Amino acid sequence: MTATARPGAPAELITSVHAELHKLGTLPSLRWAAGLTWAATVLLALAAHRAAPAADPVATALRWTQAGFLVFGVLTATQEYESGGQIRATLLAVPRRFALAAAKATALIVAAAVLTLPTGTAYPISVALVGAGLGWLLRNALAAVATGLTLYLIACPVALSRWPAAANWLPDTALLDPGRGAAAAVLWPLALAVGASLSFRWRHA
Amino acid sequence: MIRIDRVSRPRILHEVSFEARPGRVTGFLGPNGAGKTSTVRILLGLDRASTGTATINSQPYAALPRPLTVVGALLDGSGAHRARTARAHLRWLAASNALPRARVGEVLETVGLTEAAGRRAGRFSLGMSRRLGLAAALLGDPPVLVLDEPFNGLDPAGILWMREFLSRCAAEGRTVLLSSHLLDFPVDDVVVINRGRVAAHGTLAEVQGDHGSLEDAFLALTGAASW
Amino acid sequence: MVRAELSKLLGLPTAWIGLALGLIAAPALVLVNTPGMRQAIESGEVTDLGYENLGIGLLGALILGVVAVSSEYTSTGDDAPGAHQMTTTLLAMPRRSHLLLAKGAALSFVVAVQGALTASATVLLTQVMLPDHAPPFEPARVAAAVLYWTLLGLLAFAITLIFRNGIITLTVFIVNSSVVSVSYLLTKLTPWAAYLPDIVGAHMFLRTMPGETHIAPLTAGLVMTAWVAALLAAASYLFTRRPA
Repeated sequence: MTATARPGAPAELITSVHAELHKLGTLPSLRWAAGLTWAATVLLALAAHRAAPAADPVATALRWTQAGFLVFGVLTATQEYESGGQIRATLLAVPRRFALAAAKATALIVAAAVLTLPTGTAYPISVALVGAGLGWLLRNALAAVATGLTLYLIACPVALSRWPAAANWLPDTALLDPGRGAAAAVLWPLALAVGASLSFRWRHA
Repeated sequence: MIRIDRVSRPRILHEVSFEARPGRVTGFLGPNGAGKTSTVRILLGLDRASTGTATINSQPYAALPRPLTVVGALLDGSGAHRARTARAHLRWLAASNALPRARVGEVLETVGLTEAAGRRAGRFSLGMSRRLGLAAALLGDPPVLVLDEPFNGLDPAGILWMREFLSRCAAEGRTVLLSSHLLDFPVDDVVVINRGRVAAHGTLAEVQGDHGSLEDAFLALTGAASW
Repeated sequence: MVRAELSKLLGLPTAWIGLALGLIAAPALVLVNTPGMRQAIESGEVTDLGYENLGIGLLGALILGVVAVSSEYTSTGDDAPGAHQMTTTLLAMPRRSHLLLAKGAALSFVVAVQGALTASATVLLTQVMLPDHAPPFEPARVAAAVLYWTLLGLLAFAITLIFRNGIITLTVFIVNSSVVSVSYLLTKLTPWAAYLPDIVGAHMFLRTMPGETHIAPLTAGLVMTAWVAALLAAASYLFTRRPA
């Protein structure tokens, strides 16, 4: 067999993305994460509307329910390292690791975009990608969720109140001030994606 | 055709070289911890060798286009997430290598899991997990099979079935590489590995040599006869 | 048995992360927040200085409560997806109700010791940083905060036991311990939300809380204890009846 039999990279990416989307669609924990995030967002948006009718209730609700998108992102990554050793099946099927990382990121962006469509903001996609990056680096759902939630819900607000000028560089500014935080909302997931892909490339499976 | 060429990893493997040819079952034998699994993982691109090359049809695993159509591998565990059904697991694998969906039903039939296809992999017994792993290996109808300790966790009927299945695969012209710490299965060629070095390599008759049986040869080669 | 559970808990790397986080977070917040607190002093809100930062230290209690259970249900091998430490634990200690008591006692002990250290350190540090404004060191109030922590650790323990999944507990509690509690937002839907366990518990050691409902420290303590007792009862009911 020769290298000429190798399909083109775009065709290969489409096949892998298809497989990754299939994986996301058949995992019960992801369905639960999506469903609970949805229910909580609706409930809190209702409460936020009562509390302050002038403010955007969905954005207010997302201040908390972004946690659901983070968990969703984490689980898409850590499913590979849970019992059963799925990561080996994945790598045997798609052995080129950068290609696999690209397929996984694409599939997650598609899934998160569908989930976040009704909120009318792309910000949760960024949160989900950060979650996935942490999941790939830490390979443990509990640790990644704890780190991510501490980052978004505790460290960021504290940092903001201490150094207001840092707002441009915090990953969660984009939620309430999209104009100011857009760059950070893209750069944080990008940096984590690069870090996660490199560690994935060099660590043993 | 599998070729392992002077593969080394510090403290684990020392210049391991051997071949597995089409139409033959090659037994890759050695005591626990001899380096069998490391060699297999390097062959499949899951680990890296510090020096040496491991190729399948002259290409490293990571360069194979649609690898499931070239190599089927069975490692420990089923490779399925415990919350996914057997069918869903095989479907995403099929999608990842652009294999027809009908293959999923066919391989489930082959390994006798048709009835259990809708059950979650986490609810499978050890033997069923191994069968699911084998189903995944067969999905792309590959000419090369690499099986790490395939008899682990099988009941007597399962072991019998696996032995016949492997002989049939070789008879169909496939390359079968099978690592095991057991010796009780039909092999054509034998590679004995001990403490990260190949201790013997050849046809069954060659390796057996003057020893009465493969067992005696194995024990003499690996120095495990003392007990 | 309590000693066995204690050594199991303290043998987990994650538990030490929880301990370290709990010990460091609240005092660190005092250091980071000092300028902010000076501003607050100028605008006249000074009742809970130092004590305010204690809320964040519950992260440690939370992580301890979660890992005390989730470590038992983590799979121990790829070959047998169903295998986890709980099977071994139950073979060693087959009386499940006793096992739960031992686990709860070990957890409470660790969290209480950690809480006492952190709370004292935080309040004393506030006095060092802002000597003129910090409220006096009140042992009763610190004790209330430690009790709050312990109850929260037990709450996390019970909920994790019910769901057999630490992620749900961790998410709900961290979301709730963020700057503005989600329970507070829920009080806008119904005033009864003020009696949700985390918000009612904080009334035990904070004098000023966002929201209209004011609950006396003793009532708050009783309500929170009732919550913990109810959830622990539900958890042990499920635990003794479910297959391991």
